[in-house]
Amino acid sequence: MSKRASLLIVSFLCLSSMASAGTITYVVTVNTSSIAGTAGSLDFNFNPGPLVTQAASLQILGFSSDGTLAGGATLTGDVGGALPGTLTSDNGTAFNDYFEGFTYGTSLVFDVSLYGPALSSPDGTSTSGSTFAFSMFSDPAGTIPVLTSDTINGFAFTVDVNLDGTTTVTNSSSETTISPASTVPEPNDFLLLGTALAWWGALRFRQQRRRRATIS
Amino acid sequence: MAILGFHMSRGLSPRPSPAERVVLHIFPWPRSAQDLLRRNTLIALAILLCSSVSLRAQISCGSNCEIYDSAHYGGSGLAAKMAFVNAVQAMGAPLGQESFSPSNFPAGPYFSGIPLPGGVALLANDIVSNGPIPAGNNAEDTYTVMGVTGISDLYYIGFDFDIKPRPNSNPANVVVQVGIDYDSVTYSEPLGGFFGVVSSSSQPLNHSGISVFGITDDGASPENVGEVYLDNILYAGGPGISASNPLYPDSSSFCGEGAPACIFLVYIFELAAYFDPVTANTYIYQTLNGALFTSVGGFPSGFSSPFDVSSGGTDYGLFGPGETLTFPGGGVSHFTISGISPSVNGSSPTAFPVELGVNTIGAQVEAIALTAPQPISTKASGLAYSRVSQTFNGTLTITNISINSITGPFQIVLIALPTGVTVANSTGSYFGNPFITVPAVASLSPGQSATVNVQFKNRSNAKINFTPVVYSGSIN
Repeated sequence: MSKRASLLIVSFLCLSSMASAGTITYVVTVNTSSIAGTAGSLDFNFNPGPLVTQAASLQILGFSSDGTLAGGATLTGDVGGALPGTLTSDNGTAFNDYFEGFTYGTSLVFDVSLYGPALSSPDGTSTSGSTFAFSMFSDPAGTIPVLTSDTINGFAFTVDVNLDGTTTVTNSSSETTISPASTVPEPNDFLLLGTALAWWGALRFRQQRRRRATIS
Repeated sequence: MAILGFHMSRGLSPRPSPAERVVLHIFPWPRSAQDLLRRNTLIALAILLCSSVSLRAQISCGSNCEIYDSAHYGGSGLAAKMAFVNAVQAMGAPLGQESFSPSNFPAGPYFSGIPLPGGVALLANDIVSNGPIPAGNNAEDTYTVMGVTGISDLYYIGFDFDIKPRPNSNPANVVVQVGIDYDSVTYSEPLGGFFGVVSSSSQPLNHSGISVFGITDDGASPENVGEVYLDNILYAGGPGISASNPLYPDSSSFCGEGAPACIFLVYIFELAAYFDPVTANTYIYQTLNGALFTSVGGFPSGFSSPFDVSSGGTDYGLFGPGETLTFPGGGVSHFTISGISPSVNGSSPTAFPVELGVNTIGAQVEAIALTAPQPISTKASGLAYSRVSQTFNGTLTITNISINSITGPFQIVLIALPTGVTVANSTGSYFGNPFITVPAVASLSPGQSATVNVQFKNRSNAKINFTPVVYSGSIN
């Protein structure tokens, strides 16, 4: 294998590891047994601040519950996907929101994954962070907060993306646990890793062919 | 000759006495007081004959002029003013504006008899307020509000007028007379509006001058005379027509020593006007009464680099002398000019004039000049939306980035918020801009920070942004 090719492969591998370093994931578990059977609603929103805000993205992954989603979710802003599948959002518009009716079971589990330049490479010049907020309501219209001590705004918990790339969790729900997950590579990381491995394999195959040709 | 119909708004109400009238005249300057008295007697008689019926009358102002006034266009006079401005601009003529009151009527101050620039002189006895006539005086009285003499080419003039109710609360009419034929327009109280007259180029308005009078006579003793006010006088040569003759802020008192920003207010009664606020390296312009900026241009020369123009998070790029930015989408409610280097010298009245295009006559424009460097920085968290409070919630954190301690209390003024975005938890308003007091912070030592919650109402989900300016000490 040539030195140049080896250098390229190593670079790809480094890039993939760097990209995953900026992703922060939380595992969220909510004990909803006290309101099991209640026809309520869930709200997820991820918004920029009012000053200069660096780009950031968010995914809601692995949503699972013995409750029932009502379907017909309301999506606002840069939000895509549908529960229980993966939700994806960025902070490109003022209001990025996913709202859906939900009949509570006994528990609710999902992952919140935050990534993007604001986390992986803070620019040092932005003056606003971004904030993710999760709320639960005991009515389908989303007006009566539940399982939270924040009766004014109704947030169960929020996650602030700070200007230095760190995050701050504010949990107002005693029924909710939020714990950091081990770093999970982003899809882009797999792509970079795969490309590097494929390239490495191709070069190995080419070298072996040359060697065989030389021997014969 | 233009003939315009109007509705005599007095209608079928009881016939007023001559004393219940206040009259504004625009007509050739009378040769003598006797002449004046004779003319006004005729006017009063004419009013007496006409004011008890509802009718549509015609007025003329000589053979070559048109009148644009509230009686014809209705409302508060804005439509009349717009028509007047359009007529003048259709002539390709310049139109300046002389304003005397930051908040318009009735707060004052008003026109005070100071000679207007541009060759328009005012008479020595110009007055803005007539007190009660001394007891026993039952004669008809005429009061000069504004006179224009000394120029031979006055083709158009317009002004807002306001006749304050008289102490006796009797209804009153105001008659605006134009030209030597004494044709009149009658108004009923509230006696406020706009009056403009435009002559053709072949015949200037003034034969020997133009004057505006207030006349009253209630036949009783003591007389109760209405107070006559004029403001926002539009005429050729007035301020705002060029970079060397810009509109000046109504007041500079909002810029205290050591203040992080100076705030200046001006009303623009033209569709484009040069406005020169104060010295700084960054200016923020915003409208306070719903108007929009349609363009900015006329950038001054002599600077080391072009100026950056931005609005609401959109950077429109760099602009220099000779260039004009037309804002897309009909206009913006605020914009920022930054990168002014070297900083302009505010001691010069023509330091940094720019031409502002607005979509509304009567736009109230505020210019905020940011001094640099700012001793306190402001940073913000993201904004979480609450379906309960229907607000976007976050925090603002201020940090003392100077080398000295700064004494509180600290007030964060949120300048240039988008239209429709309001601060739900503001402490108060500072010249139209909401501010939030950072609680329980007596002082900030160098590097020290303090945080305050902020809540925005934003029904249209517009991008929330603003320019923060932190004041130390009380601002009210």
